Amino acid sequence: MTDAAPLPLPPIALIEDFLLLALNEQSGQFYPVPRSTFDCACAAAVLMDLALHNRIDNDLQEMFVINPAPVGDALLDATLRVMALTPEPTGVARWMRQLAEEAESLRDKALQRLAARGVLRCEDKKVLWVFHAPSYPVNDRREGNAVRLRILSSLLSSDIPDSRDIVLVSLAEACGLFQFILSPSELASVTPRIAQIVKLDLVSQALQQAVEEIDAAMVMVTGLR
Amino acid sequence: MFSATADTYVLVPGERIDALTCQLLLQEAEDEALANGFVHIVLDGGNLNSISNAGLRALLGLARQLEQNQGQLAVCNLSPAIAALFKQCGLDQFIPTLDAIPGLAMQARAA
Repeated sequence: MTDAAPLPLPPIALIEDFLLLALNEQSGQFYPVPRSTFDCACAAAVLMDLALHNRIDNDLQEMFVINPAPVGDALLDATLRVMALTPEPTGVARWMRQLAEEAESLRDKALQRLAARGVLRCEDKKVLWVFHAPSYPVNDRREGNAVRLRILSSLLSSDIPDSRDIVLVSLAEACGLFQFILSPSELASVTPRIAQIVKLDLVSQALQQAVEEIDAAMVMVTGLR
Repeated sequence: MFSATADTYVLVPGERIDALTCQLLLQEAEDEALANGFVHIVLDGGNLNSISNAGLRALLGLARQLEQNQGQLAVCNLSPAIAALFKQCGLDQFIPTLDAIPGLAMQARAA
């Protein structure tokens, strides 16, 4: 009996592109983003991806499944199944919070898939023999470069942005990634464009609001602004 | 600035533009407007009382498609609630709002 051939990988998911944006290729570590913000953004990436696949839709009040047929991507289909089984309408923020609880698992699966694509390696080093320090050295910079390039093109243009660019810009903005990706002068020049793009999607708006609430809660707890 | 010409097609959606109804709307734009050489589209929102996220995305996608062909999407007859949603989402920066259906487009629609 021969081993079954590995299943072909699905097209690159939004959360994979987002993780490449969030990854510092020099260090193999993610840029410093508050954990709860990062979790919300990963959850939003999955919801936005399902929306771009025409599986879910939302208005200002509720998010709903419009087509429960699997996308063919295990990362997305698990969430779609749960949403399809939820009988009562649920708001975007609630789905985001619920999914954010599974963000670590979503991230791990997405990183494993990036490793399977040959884009990076998943390493787990121990620091001082005790602490785990996961690291993701990049093998192939083309995918990450392509994502950064398309985002920059969208920011530097005045054209109507593409749907995937809108959500990627929103995810990056929610996590404050542009301060790491762009120089201060570049960031200053594209800040109005970022604000313009982020407004264009209702899930992005819910994400920005969730992040503002997280920031406000941090200020309450730490007293730091 | 939107300037209506005889190349302007008028699209009239129903009460709601969502993930399902936007497919029909985009199909009409493709089959009736673009395939017949119309360059601009005016969306007459007189019946419209809600737009979902997929609907907003579809309108933006249509505006983008027209823009790439030197055309433009505009909207008119929006209710205050829909106009407010357009503003909240910044769609008004890419899709101009007209006070009424332009005359030439009316003629094209009647023809």
